[in-house]
Amino acid sequence: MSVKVKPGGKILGIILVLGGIYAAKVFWWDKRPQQARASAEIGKVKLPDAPEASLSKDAVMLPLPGTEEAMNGGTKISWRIMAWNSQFPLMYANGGANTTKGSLLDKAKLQLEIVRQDDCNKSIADMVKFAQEYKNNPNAPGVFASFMGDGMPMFFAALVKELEPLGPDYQPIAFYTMGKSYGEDKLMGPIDWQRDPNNAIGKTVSCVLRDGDMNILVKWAGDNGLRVNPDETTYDRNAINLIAANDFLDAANKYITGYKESRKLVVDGKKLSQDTTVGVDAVSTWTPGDVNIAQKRGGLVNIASTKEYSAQMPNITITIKKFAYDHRTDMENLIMALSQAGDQVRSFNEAKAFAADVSAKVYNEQDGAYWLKYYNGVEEKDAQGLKVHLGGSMAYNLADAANMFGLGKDGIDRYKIVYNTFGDILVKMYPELVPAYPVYSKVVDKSFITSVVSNHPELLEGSVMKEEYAGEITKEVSSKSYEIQFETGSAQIRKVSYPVLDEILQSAVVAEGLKLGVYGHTDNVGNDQSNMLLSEERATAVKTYLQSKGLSSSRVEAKGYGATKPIADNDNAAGRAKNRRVQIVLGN
Amino acid sequence: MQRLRQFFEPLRILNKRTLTLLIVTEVLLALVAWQLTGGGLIPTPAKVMAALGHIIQMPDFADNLFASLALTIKGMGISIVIALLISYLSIVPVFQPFARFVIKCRYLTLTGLIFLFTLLTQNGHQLKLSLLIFGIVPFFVTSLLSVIDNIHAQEFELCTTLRMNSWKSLWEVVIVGRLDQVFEVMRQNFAIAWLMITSVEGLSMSEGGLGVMLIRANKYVQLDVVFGTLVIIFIIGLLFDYLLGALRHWLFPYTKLTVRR
Repeated sequence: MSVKVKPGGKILGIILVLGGIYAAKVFWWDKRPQQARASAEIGKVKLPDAPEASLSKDAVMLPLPGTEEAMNGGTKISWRIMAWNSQFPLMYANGGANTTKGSLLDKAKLQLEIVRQDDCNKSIADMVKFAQEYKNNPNAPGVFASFMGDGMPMFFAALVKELEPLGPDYQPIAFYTMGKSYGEDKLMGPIDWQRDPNNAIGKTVSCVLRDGDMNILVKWAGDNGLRVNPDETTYDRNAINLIAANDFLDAANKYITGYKESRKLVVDGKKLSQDTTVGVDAVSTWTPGDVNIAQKRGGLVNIASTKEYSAQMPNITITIKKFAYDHRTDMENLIMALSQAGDQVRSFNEAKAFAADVSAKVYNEQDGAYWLKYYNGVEEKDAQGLKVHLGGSMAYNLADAANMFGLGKDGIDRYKIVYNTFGDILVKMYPELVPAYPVYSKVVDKSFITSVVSNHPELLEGSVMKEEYAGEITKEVSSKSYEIQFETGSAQIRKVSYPVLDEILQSAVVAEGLKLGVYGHTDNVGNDQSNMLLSEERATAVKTYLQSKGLSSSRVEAKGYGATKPIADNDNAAGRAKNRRVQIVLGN
Repeated sequence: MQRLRQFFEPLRILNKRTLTLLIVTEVLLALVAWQLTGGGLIPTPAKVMAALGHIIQMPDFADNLFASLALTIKGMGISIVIALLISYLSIVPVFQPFARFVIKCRYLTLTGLIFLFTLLTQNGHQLKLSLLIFGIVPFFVTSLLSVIDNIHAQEFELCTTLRMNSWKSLWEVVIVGRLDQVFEVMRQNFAIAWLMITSVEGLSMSEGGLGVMLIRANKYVQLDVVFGTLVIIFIIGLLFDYLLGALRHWLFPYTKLTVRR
């Protein structure tokens, strides 16, 4: 340094250099022309071409939105979502991270900003903050957030408590569902769990505790009559044990890396001071966790997924009650736009690919082809040569969403059943963390979708997603024997058993992708022929009851086996009581 | 032999050329060991280098780099101002307890505080910045206070002899006299800021950043990209280390007088 500058001058120099770099970045680098995607051709008329299109043959594809940001002066909404393919309708309807010209939401006069937020707690914090702001400033932009439906009891429990001080108007409500997980969330385990679920006893599953993916495990275990040890610090050899992971990717990585941990033994409900070391036998995760497992290590197959439990994980959108009621027209227009988008995405490959491209832009990750591939779901060979199904999501049209909330033909409120099923599980397993969860009718507001359904029958044109059921169950996912009481010697179900039947119904509603088998069995008292007949009649009685509650007849198969398949000794009363049973099987 | 022995002799100061040679040799040995033991899920140096070339050519790399650097420099700048204010005021007894409390904040983690900070800030950028500042300031203050604590009593006595009042002494001895140490404190604690970058950038991914690149690559277990990004973060860290040291010597040439070499 030959130039003599005083320290003051030097500091000024440093500030000038930094300022110069910053200015160059803002005024030159960011302003330089960058390649943008060519805008789509407008006005092409196309007929439905997607497999299982929801729109009929004479429907026309809407022109794809442009890439230019819309300035329609409509209500501003900021929407928090995680990187999840069930949001294809939102991507299509918005045209980009911000509403673009000619998109469905532009036509609905809304200015929407989609913000990726993978951290659910952060989204909850944003929602609380919005409620506070909205109370002070009615012009504050709305904040929406979308979560997985089976996790809502926990999120609502947290939110309701946080928002209590602001008064009843500022409580959170769920008002719509735009899609669902359809295979991408799963329990992956060793292949012998498929053959006999009892092989899972004494094994471990790594997952995020109290998360939707863990729910798949808990449901599968429950449907098979297996216990799950809720405590992640102990090991119970008579139950399925959990290994806590940070997030769904960490859950997969724990299996990939061969992670081990030491746990306190539990015998007969007592913690011993003895330690045992456990590894990871199975994983509950979702895409790309399943892809990572398949590619990096392999050796696990899908035991159960949201393809089978297809009503379990709808994408549920929430906001603050007061905002929704203050903007009723906007809310209904939004629902109309999203449901139309669902039909377009479901019916036209080009629209679906467009939604995938927007996803890549909004999530700022991978490319459109990637998101499209795992929206559709793929069968791939894993690192050990096993075949695994990876990914799988589904966009909803209005009829699907109506179906989810019990506004469809069969009248089954699927979401109510899902919400209560997994809320109850949460409270049962973790009473100290979640002592109670909000009542369904308090947090789910059907008024918006009901109004759209009744005022716009034309939007119900898109057909409901249809599950195809096998003629006969050949592959069991779960099987459990229930004690259902009948009047002696007849197929008349006693009233005390109705709660048991309702439990079976709820389990079947969540597992909408599977056929339900009702198999009657008797003990060996009396002659074989009359036993056979009685067991058939009793199975049919159960089927009739379930059908009266809304299950379609193609979904339930009823069979009687008489005394041909005993599970216990018929020589004593206790054994005979065990053999008089109804076996409930979910399979395809 | 003589030369080899000097490598293992305590207190021996090597000349620059020998030292460079030693560093290069040790780095090469480490890389060779890594190359030989790597494989399977652990990427080898060759793969990491390939990934590094690939990362640098990504169209959004410059933006991500700048986002992280801008955030860090902004955070460091604001933090050092706040930390200096707290440290200088700690000399005044009434502010002493507050400064002590700030130091103890080092033991807080961000986990529970994210919710609070979200409610207090306007947007994602502010949230990231405030969390970063909250993370760095206690470390800055800790180092600055230890600098102040280590001032010789003689210096204050000299000020008294020169008939300065206590405010003037504070200015001469603590503020002007220790200005060069501020750069040293920043240099030593820059690592903390760099360490936090991943955790805060994950909270608001819309602006991108090196932390976001890291999180994204980690999601797909692309370990070569992860390691490549880590190498970039490491190199920039070293660069800043050097830069802050050089700045200190350039701004305060007298600091070179007290160093052993």
